[in-house]
Amino acid sequence: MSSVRRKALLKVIILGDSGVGKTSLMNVYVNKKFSNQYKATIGADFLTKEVHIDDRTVTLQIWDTAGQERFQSLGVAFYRGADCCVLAFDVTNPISFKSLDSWRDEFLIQASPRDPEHFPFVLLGNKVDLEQNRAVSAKRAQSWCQTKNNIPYYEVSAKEALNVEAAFQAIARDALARESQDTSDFSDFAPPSVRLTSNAQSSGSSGCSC
Amino acid sequence: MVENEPNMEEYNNSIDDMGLIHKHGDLITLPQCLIIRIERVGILPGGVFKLNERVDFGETLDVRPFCFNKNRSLNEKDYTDSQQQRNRTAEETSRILGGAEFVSGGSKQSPIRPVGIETGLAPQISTIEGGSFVAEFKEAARYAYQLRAVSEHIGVPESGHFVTYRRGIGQTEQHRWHRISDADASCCFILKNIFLHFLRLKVKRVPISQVLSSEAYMLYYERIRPTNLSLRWPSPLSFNFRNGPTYIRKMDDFPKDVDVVVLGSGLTESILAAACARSGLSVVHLDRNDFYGAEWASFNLQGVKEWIETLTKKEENQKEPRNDENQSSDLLKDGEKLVKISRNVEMIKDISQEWSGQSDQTTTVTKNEVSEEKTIKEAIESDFRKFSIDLVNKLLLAKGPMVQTLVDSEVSKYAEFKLVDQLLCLSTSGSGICPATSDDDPQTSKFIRVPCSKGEIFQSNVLSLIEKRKLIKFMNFCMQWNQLPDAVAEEWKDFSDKPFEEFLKAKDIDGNLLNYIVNAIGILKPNATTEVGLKAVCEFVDSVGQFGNSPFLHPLYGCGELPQCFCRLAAVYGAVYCLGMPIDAFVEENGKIVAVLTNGLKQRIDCRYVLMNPAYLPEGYCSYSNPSKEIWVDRAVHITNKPILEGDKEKITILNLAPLNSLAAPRLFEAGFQMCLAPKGYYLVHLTAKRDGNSDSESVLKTVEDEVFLQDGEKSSVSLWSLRFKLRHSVPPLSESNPSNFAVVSGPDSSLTYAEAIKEAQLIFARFWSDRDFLPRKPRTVEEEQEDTA
Repeated sequence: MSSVRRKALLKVIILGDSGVGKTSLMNVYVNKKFSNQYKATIGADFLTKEVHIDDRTVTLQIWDTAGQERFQSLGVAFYRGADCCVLAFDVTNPISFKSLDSWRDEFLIQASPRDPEHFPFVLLGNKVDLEQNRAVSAKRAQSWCQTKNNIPYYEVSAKEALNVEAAFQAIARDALARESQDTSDFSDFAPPSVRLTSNAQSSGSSGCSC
Repeated sequence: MVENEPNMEEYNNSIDDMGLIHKHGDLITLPQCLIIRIERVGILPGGVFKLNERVDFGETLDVRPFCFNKNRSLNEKDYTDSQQQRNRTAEETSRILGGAEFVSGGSKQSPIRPVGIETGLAPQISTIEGGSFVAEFKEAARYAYQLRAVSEHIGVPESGHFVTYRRGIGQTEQHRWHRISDADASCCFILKNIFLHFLRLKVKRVPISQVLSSEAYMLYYERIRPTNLSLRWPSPLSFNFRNGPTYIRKMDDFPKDVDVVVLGSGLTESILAAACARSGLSVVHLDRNDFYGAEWASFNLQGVKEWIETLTKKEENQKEPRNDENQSSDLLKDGEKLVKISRNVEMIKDISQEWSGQSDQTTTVTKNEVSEEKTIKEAIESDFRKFSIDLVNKLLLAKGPMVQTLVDSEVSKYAEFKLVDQLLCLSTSGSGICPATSDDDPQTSKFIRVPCSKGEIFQSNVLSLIEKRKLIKFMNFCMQWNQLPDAVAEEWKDFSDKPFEEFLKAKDIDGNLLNYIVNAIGILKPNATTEVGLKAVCEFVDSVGQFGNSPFLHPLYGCGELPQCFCRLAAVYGAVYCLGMPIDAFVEENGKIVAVLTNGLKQRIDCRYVLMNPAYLPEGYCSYSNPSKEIWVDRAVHITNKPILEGDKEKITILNLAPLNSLAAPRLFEAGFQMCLAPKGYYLVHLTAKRDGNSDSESVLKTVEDEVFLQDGEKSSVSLWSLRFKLRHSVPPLSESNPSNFAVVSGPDSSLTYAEAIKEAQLIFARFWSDRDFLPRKPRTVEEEQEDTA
């Protein structure tokens, strides 16, 4: 089921095995911070960043798994209404590459997007700074992408902030392309959804509105 | 036997006692397509004849028995051999040698390891490294083939017909089989018995049973990918494909000592988990189910089916695990006592699901500009993922405690909500016989719309001018009462404990107007006394205008989202999540629970507190339960293709049905595509009623349904599919000698809002951690503060 939102807000989710660097990639992209210390994700929620695509400004909302993937306990709510799915693997860990198929399938099953064949995925091969330990060649990753309807592939390094910016720019572009396509699907009038925030609450008139 | 002969090795032809010839070959590389030809033509000196023997074949085929070097999990030696071949380059991974795959990076060990020897478990059980089970799931699917097509020849060698059975393509179509026969071709030329040219073919849908009983001579199998295998992602624990390996997650880095263990992921437990994690306590949150939400979950249509299957299976699997005392003794210290957790508290009962006769009618489905005739049932089933069927149906009151908690804790940012934009009540004039046509004519309509905001009151054409004035006057009184109840004491004090209705009548409110107020308020507080009623009016009025012209909100994709949102907050604050985890026993010491044993008594989690769903209560913790004192919630969910009150736009509707049975106070909620609960054109109708242990077995919801779904299918809404069940609300009485450091939450209650769940979570939290804040707002970061000032 795809999202009914009409927004300049794009929900992007990052999927991949534990330890491939999902949180690091987000953090490097949004906060330009990298920590070499690995701990399973605690405290990462979602990060937002404004991106300029052509003449539009959109807000990317990048959702971390919050560590819930560690024991395979991501709930379906996480996948709801995603505009783009970033698959990440560790180029030094072949198992994380092998899991990609399953993560992609998992996404398509859980999010059930309107047009699964053309849903925007982006593949990130992280940790290319560890070239000497590389176990998955770029060629192999690319050929996987080709079999999946030409998913764009980026080799990145969160540690050296290599290619991260370019990759997320592409992600935003893909998500936006899908969004405009989606809005056209929703021709009939539907009242917008409500986001509960403290602002919305205080701005509502109080007392005798009845 | 197998077409891909170059892939095969070792042909062993042998003759058994029966004189039958066995031909055997092993596969080295697994082909994507496996085409099997069954020899049907025999040649005798007298000529050719046809072999008509029946050949059994399955819809799926597991080729492991035909694989070279296959018994990895059973054969330790073969397994280690293949392990040594693992230092090949990455490009080779697609090549399979029997059961083992080459994986580059020789340092990495295989994630699958036989564990039979060390644990005494069945040898086909393997462990998986945390986090990459997905890769391993594929490993099992790797040997599985799915039947895609079958060719059949009917008749004698010289003449007859060719029939093809073909499986549909795509996720929704793949469970359908189509039959094409040259006999059905409207025009065909036959030249020299060989050449066939079809001009137009008739394609017929057939059941799989017909395919499997055909006189096949060619079988076309394709390798399964996980998407084909299962509609839902199978839990690593429950997945079992044709005796394939059963997976157990590797729990090496699972926390061994935490402050709080939360058992069950229902809403109240999830709120508590979030509150604990948020306040800095270390939390492990477990659920024995492989989905979030426990009794508060929501499922798609297929999920409902699986849920019912698991619940019915659970009853069969009630048997005690064998000799666990011995198994767990090494996890117990001196002076500790093991208390086994049984499934003795039933949380859900009397489940039934059915398709109504109406679902057999045909409908035209247009997809990608191709129209197709289908029965309604088929149309619904092919869109099964677009349904989100809640077990618990509630609404959020805009000024209620749930919205407050969501906003304060910022859990609200994980979900979206929509206003319930139509509040209905039963018409007093219509006795329920006349069909709902239009709300413009209250005389013939079964339901009438309750105006909520001031604007709607003025526009309403069912209220007379005098009634409108009376209503506004009454609202003003309520506001006064809210601010200074004593100032208007003489007007209401005498009625304080009397029914609200009596008070309204004394205020000269009657007829439709009385009906409106009692109904609108009654949905919040059924059978209210004057004081409760007045409070409810104020809550109601206060809530209108918060987010729009309605006091009620509902989460997009269903109420099942809420527990998950709270769990996400808990995870963000460090709670560790594990679903599908067997919860086996508590360890008690000095009147406290000091640990929880999980994962088949293999995992011990030490803890200070345990918060749990009643489904995890050990038998010994409960005292005698009197069934007549139990409180249950009666539930029914229907799929319809017409709203109960047709209008120009799709509405999200709440209808108070309390007048039909004031004790059970039934209500109806209807929403569809807009709320992301159903595919376009379909609606979910949720019915909820209270039920105490004394109620007779016949559900009040039956009478409600008769009232709502008229038999006149043309004009009104009819049920296409229904699901019924009962949810336990009351916690069984607990014995007095129980440990002091645990709390049990109650099951979902029948009231409209979430007030009770929030209140219960707050009370339990305050009981153990009275010095901590309950879900406070996130402290602002330095950057955010700078942004604000800038």
